Amino acid sequence: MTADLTVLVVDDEVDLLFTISLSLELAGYRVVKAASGEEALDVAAAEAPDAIVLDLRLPGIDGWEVIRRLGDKGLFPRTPVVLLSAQVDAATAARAVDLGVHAHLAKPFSASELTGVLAQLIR
Amino acid sequence: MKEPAGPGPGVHRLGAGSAPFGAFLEAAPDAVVIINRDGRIALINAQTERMFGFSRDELLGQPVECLLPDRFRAAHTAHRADYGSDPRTRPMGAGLELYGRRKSGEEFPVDISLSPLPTDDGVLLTAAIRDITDRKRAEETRALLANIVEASDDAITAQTVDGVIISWNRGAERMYGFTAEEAIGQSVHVLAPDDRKAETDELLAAIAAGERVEQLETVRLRKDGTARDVSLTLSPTRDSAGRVTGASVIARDVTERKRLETARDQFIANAAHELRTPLATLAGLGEILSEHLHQMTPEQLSQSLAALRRQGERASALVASLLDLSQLDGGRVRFAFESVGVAGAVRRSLDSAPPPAGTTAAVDVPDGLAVRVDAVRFEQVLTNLLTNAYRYGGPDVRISASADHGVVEVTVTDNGSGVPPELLPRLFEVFARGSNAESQGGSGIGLALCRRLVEAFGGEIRYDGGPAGARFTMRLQSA
Repeated sequence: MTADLTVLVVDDEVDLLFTISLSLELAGYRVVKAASGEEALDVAAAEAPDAIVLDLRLPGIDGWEVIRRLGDKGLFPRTPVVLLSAQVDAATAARAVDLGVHAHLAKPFSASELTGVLAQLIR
Repeated sequence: MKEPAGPGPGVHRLGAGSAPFGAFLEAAPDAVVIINRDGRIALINAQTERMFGFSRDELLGQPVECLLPDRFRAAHTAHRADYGSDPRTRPMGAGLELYGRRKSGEEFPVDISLSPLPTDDGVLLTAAIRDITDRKRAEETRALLANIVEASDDAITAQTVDGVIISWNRGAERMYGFTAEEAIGQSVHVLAPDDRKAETDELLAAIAAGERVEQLETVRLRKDGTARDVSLTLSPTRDSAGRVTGASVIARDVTERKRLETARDQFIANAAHELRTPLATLAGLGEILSEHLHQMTPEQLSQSLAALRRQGERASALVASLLDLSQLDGGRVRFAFESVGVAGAVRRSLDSAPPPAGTTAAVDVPDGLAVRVDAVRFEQVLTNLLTNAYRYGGPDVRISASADHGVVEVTVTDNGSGVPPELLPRLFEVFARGSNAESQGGSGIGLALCRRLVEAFGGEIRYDGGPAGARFTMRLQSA
């Protein structure tokens, strides 16, 4: 049922990008990857993913800026975004809520947690 | 009226109770002893009996020296003769410590005031003697307390209810930079920064209400205007009737402690952050492998195992670096200094950290160059610099060395984009990492470790690269 659904995973850590992607592929999603914010914007425009898993801390433009530019392109909030950050402090969480980010997970998170959140976001 | 067989002139005539001033003498708070020209006791009051433990009969007619400790007796006899030649009312032995001696032999500190007493039989001498044991004890206690207050590193001060400073110890002089002379008479408001004036008023109100304030963390200003973090404890002081007269204030400078706490918190947060990335991969892959092992393709499996291995090694290396750093900072690292050939050390470093695919490492180190270092730690520094160059630099890495006037310079360069300028001021600090380093698995500890090690060798390390590439140079003692 998820085979038709595409998820864009954005993380600059190669092994973490691989791990997140693998867990989503094993859950049946088609996965496209990006290792930077700029690349994420290109892939998002080209692939029109059904959801985006986005690391907050990225080289170059960070996750906040990616969300802003996705909004400029009309891709956000139409496309659900799951934000990943090293810690979910009050300020980060509040900003995510203000922007209308759909879900927010702190690293390290479990693969089942992520697939559970995605299943709820993509109907 | 003379008593030929008596103890001496005037003795009977002045017997307590027998003369009009007898009642007056008995009422006096002090022991009163009247002495005749020969230095013999002619009259005493009841306080004298109580104070010295002798009965009246035991004292009358005796030399007054029987009331003194033995060691003062000879000198006293001479002093008494002097006084006889110029009898005036005065305190005795001004500035000297005077002692009486009880019948039991016990000595006690006294104040004595002397007055001439003209009589028909000539001038007698009245000595009013006060036992000052309690006062002395109180003085000693006060001196002890004053010493303790002065010796304290804390600022210990006193103020009136209106906040006027009335006491200022040496600790306060050191902490605030005001001498006692400058501070006493000032309002405590001079010590509070503008944004703490309201708090100071609240403290004064609390004191006026008799409240104690313990370990309030706030900010105080030094004379030079710099702010210090302090912990204040204020206790109301009271007069004998129990009314609040002001406060004693103990202030401890906690600036350094707070700075260390902040640095420690930051360090722990950074270390946790650095560990989180490898752990996220380790935990994620562990979960995936245990749940989906049989669905995974051989390709997925081998990639997973490679990632597990890399991130496991990365977490181990990070923990090892943290321990190294902690041991270096704690001075617990022993170095085995010896003469180490630079070329050999570079070769061994390249063996343990070979350039990755697409990167080359060129070596330009003349034979015969040697430095005085710990061999293992020197290779650790070289390996760190090489790994940094591979990760963050360009594809052409170069290691060179040269000697000049007993100093060997070892340089590691690459042709990448160099260290981002915003990072330069903190380049050798722990966890000072550029945003470009985040992606490449750097720990943020390597260069901090390098600097500490090179400095431990008695050398120095600097960065002088530019946009054409990074360049790290170590200056070490030639061996």
